[in-house]
This record gives sequence, C-alpha cells and structure tokens, in this order.
Amino acid sequence: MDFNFSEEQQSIVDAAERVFADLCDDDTIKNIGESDVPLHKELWAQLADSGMLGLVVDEEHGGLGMTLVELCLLFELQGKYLAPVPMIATLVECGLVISGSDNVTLKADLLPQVVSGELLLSPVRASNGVLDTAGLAAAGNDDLVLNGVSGVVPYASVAGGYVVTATEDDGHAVIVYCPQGASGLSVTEQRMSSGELAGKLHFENCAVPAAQVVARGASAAALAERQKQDTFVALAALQVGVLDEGLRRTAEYVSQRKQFGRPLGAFQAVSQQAANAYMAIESLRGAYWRALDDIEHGNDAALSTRVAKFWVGEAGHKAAHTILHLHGGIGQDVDYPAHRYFLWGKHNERYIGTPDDMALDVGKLIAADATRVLNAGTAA
Amino acid sequence: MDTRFNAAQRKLRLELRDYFKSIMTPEVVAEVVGKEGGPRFREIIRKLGEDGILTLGWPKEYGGKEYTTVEQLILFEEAWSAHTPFPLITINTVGPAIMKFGTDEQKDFFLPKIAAGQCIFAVGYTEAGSGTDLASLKMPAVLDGDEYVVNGNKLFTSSGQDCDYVWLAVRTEKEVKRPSDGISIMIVDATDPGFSFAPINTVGDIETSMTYYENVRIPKDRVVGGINRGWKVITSQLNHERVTLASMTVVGAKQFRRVVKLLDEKSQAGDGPLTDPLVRAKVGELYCRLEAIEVLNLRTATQIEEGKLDVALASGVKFQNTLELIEVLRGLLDLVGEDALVAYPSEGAIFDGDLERDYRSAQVNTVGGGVMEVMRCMVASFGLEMPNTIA
Repeated sequence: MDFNFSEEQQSIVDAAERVFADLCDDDTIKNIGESDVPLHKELWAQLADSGMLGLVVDEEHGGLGMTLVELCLLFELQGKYLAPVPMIATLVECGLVISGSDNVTLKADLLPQVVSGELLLSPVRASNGVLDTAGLAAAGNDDLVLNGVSGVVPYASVAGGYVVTATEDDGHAVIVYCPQGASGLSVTEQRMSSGELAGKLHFENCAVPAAQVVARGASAAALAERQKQDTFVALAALQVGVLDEGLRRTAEYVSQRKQFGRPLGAFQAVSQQAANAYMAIESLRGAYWRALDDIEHGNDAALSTRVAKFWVGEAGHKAAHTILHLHGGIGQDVDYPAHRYFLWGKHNERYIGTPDDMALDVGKLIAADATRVLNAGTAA
Repeated sequence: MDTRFNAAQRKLRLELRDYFKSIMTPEVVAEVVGKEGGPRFREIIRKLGEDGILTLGWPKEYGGKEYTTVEQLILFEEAWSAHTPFPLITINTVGPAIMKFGTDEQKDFFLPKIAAGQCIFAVGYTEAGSGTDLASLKMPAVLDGDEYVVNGNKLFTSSGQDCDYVWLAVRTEKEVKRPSDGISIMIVDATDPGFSFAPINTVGDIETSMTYYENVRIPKDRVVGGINRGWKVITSQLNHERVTLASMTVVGAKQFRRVVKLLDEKSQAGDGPLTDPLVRAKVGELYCRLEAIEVLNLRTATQIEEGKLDVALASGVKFQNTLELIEVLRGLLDLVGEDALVAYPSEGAIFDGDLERDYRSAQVNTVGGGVMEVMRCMVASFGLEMPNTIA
C-alpha cells in the first residue's frame, strides 16, 4: 500500500503553488469577492500560461495528458487559497466530459480553448431543489430542443458555454453543448452564500443542433456517471484544501490569542474541538485518497467517490463550524478571512449532493448488489 | 496512491478466516466468548502456538514469519472476528518489549514459551489513583537483598484472573523531575504466594481483574529495561498497540456485513426492508463511516511499517475509530429493530447476542488503551502545534 502522492505528481503542483501564493493573498481575495464579477481573471490567465488548465486535456488538443490525480493536487491549492475561479466546473465537470465524447469536431473546437484559458465552461443539470423540479427535457431526432430550468450553475454569466445533461422522452440521458447566448436560453445571475458567482438557467425551446451533442443513450449515461464521480473527488480535494488551511489558521489564532492570562489553545475545551475537526478532515482525506486510488487504477469507483463526497459534507460541516467558532468574535467579522473558510466548507458540503444524498445513493447501490460489500476485503 | 488490499493480502485473509473458523466452532465460541482465561481458552491458545499462528508478526530470529503491519492487522482482525482467544497483549506488547529491552536470559526463557502459547501475561499498569495519568502510579518496589518486594493493588489488570506472569509497572524512585522518570517494569510470577486477584465484571463482558500484591518478591533479573527506565518500555510498544486497537474496529465491518446480508435475504422476495429509502440511506451512511475507518487504519498501519508514524494521526485514529464504531453499531441496532437489544441466551437474541454484546463492549475504548480526551490533546499539540494541555 502507498498513501502518498508520487514525487512527479507533487512536482507538477509545486510550481503552481507559487502562482496561487503570489496572486491570492487575503486582501486580493477579499477585494475580488466584493467586486461585481468575483472571478480571479489574472489567476486564470497565469494558470493557463503555466499549462495547468491543460493538465488533463490530451496532447492532441494542446494539453499535457495527465490524470485527475495531478489535477486534484491543484484543487487542493485552490481550496487552500480560496481562489475564485471555475476550475472544477471548466476542467472536470465540462472538460473531462467533452474529452470523453465521441464528437471529434466538438472536441477539436472546444478543448484547445479550454487549455488556452479563453473558454470558461459550466455544467448544467436539472434542478433538484424544491423550487424548480420540472427537470431538463430534450426532444428531437438528430437536432434537439431543450426545455427546463437549472438553479445553480457555477459562474454561469461568465461562462462561454455549458455542458448540459438532460433527459429524453424515453428516459435516457443526453449530454449536449450549448453556447452562451443561444436562442431560447436565458441566464439570471445569482450569488451563492460563499460569494461564488452562479446563475439560474432557463431553457425555452432552445435549439441544439446535432453537431453539439456530446453523448446520447448508454454512452451519455456512462459519461454522466463518470462526470459525477470525477466531480465528487475533485470537490473532496478542494475541501481538503479549504479545511486544512482553515483549521491551521484557527490553531494559530488560538495559540496566540490570550484570555484569562493564557492562550485560548491552552484550554482543553478548545483543544478537544480542534482535535475533532482534525480527525473529521483526516477521515475525509482517507475517503478522498481511496476514491482517487480507484479512479487512478480504473477500479469501479461508484461507491468510493460517493463515500468521499459524503465526507466532504460530514467533515465540512463539523470543521467549518469549529473554524468559525474558535475564532470567537473576530470570526464573525467579514473583514477578517476566517468566515470564508466556513462559507466555502458549507458550499462544498451541499454542491451536487448532500451527505444524505450520498448515503442514499450508496444504499441503493448496495441494495442492487449486496455482494459488493459482503465480500469486502476478500474479493478482487 | 494505493489504498486497497492486494491479491496476496486478500488471499491471506481468506486463509486465516478458514483457519479460525475451523477452530472456533459455535460450541467453542459459546464457551470462550468474553473470557480471558479458563481451560478451553488455554487449550486454544496452545493450539495456535503449535500451528505457529501466534508469532506470525514476530521477527524470524524469534521464530516468527515477519508479517508486515498490514498482514498483522488482517491476522488480528480475523482472529477477533471469529472470537478466537488470542493473547494480544502477550504477543504484541510483552513479546516485542522483551525482544527490545530484555536480557538474553529473559529472551531465552520467555519468548519460546510465549510463542508456544504456554505463557500468558497479565498487564498491571492502572492503579486506583492512576488511570488516565498513568505516569503518576505509586505502587512501590523496594530492594531487599537480591529481590524487589512489592506491596499494593492494581486495577483493571487484563488477564489477571488466569495468567502465568504479570507485566508490572512499579515506582522505584519517588524524587524525580518528571513522574515518568521513576517507573520500572518487572515480571511477577503469578504462582508467588503473595499474589492474588478478584474479578471485575464489566459492562462489555470483558473479563478483567483487581490484583493484589502482598510482599511479592521479584528477583532483580526480572526487571526489564533497567531500573527507573520503565516508561520507555511502556511507550515504545504503543505502535504495536495501535495495530491491536485498530483491529478491534473490524467488528463494525463484520456486523455490517451480517446485517446487510440479513436485510438482503429478507428483500430477495420483493418488498423487503432494502426497498425503503430510510433503510438504504442508513446502510449507505454506515458504509461511508466504515470505509473512512478502514482507510485511516490502513494508513496508520502503513506508516508503522515504514517507520514514519505520525503521532497526531495515531492518537486521533484511536478516538475516531472508537466514536465511529459506536455510531456504526448504533445504526446497525436501528436497522435490526426492537429485538436488537435482546440479550444472549434469550431465544430472540439476534446473531446469538453477538451484535448486542459488541455494541455493549465497543464503548470501552473511549477509556481503554488511552483515554479519548488525552488522545485529543495529543492531536491538538502534535498535529496543530497548539499548546500541550496535558501536563
């Protein structure tokens, strides 16, 4: 067994860390967060210049042809620095899906633009909230027409295009590409609790030509499942970065701040809470590594990626509240950075599936085939 | 990244499972479960010794097979799952400590007996006034000629009711800078007329004892690691004990498989419990918790194997394991329903009372093997560089 990233994998991101450190100091992040378009354009450009946006794009389309493992190390950095860029949306939720498509023309058109940083992409799925439950429907033979609503589309107003997962009349999934500004598509800008830019998308008889179909039928279902699995792991990496750094800052704060004549961290009531948060994060890290291991080695990752996302929420909730609480009054002040770790932790907890959703998904998979857990540790 | 058991390890688990199953027939299990001694207990341990099972993790020079830490974890998990009497403390704490700190005479005398399953050690650490803060222990050992004389009592002496020797921590120096400086480890012969015990019955049915020492005489050559150097002997075995403790959480995975199998069988006919979303979500949640425990344990075992154990992680895993195991067993009781707490030998006891007993005994590790609050303090100071709040 090996519970480490390789030196080669680590070296890829060492250079990237300097980029984040230079461009993502607390003041910059605060200022961008308060601006009209909370998107770190300079960081995005630098990431493109250093080849990071092409990490998992194949060499044929201008990328470096690496794996999700290297990319996840980049998401850990994004979390650590709370960098407001649509990296998971563009590279994983959309980029990897397009890479997995058989539509060679579409790939040749879009992927080089992703690598160069020109094209931001955002994933669209049917809303599953109580407000908009109508779903996203696609109809047609070759050319398709989309109807429906999606409530939380990251960076929707600045994205150049969307990778949309909808359902056809016969119940099968279909994935299409839809550019920003398409006729019949309107975008209402929204802001998330974390300050992240988002959008609500309305499709009203939005025409999608056959040339923009990413996948249909069984291959669309497989690609949509793969998209979920990859995203769950990516979010786990991001969350590890957010919570590690948030808790590190918290420990530093309580070790310095004195009350009753001694550091707050010298009270066991404080150290106990910090330790609980620490182990919640380690539980997340283990689940994240297990899922990444499965993806890297081509194992069935349906269960392990959901376990990882379960812990994104479980650890996110516990650690996020601890981070904020142990900062005392100053944690409540939005001029001070602590609250951002809390808000990001909570954002990641919920985005594309809560712990309950994950538990139910895992339970369904076990109900469908109990042998996958009954033989745990003994079966290949 | 490689977090899963490999083919050889999976094969080993199956072989060990078959082996333990062949020994631990239902009748034998009923006789020994929860016991830390007795004729049948002794008989099985001698059998394990004859078959070379006890020392699989020991170095080759002491007759072992040098199992890796992960292989040892598998061994202990399978032994534990089958309720096999296994003198874990003797094999995994006392044995390695004698190898590391013992004299040649001690090694030659004790190690072959331990390996053969003919020698069981009780561990006498805890005293009435020294539990969580073990280093404060007071029981004195006074030199009288060539022997130390010991008087006093020990509490929660594991295996005290049926042991050949007691691995005893005593105070040999009172005037010291740190309390841990004046502690020595000595081996008491349980046939000494001044040694006696009284059983302590515990919530989790795990046998333990109060042990009494009245002018017990210990020859000088039964001191291990030198006078006033006992603390190092105690703490140097913590790595081994981590693996022992980690293996205990396997009961969560075992009971999970049993409950899922039961629910699955009831659901084969159609409208069974596994069609209920609440049941599915609970099953899924417990799986998520068990998987996180498994990876934490394997990661710790791998660190031990590589000689790079992270103190913060090792301390944290101890309490995280315990709390998650309690949570998992609680969830399994929920899934089983209202007869979950029917106790053996009542007719309605599920899995012959095994789940009910495991739930009851799982809580002991919030205290046993390192109190949870102390472990958390260690996580905060070692893992987060916060002030040391223990001492």
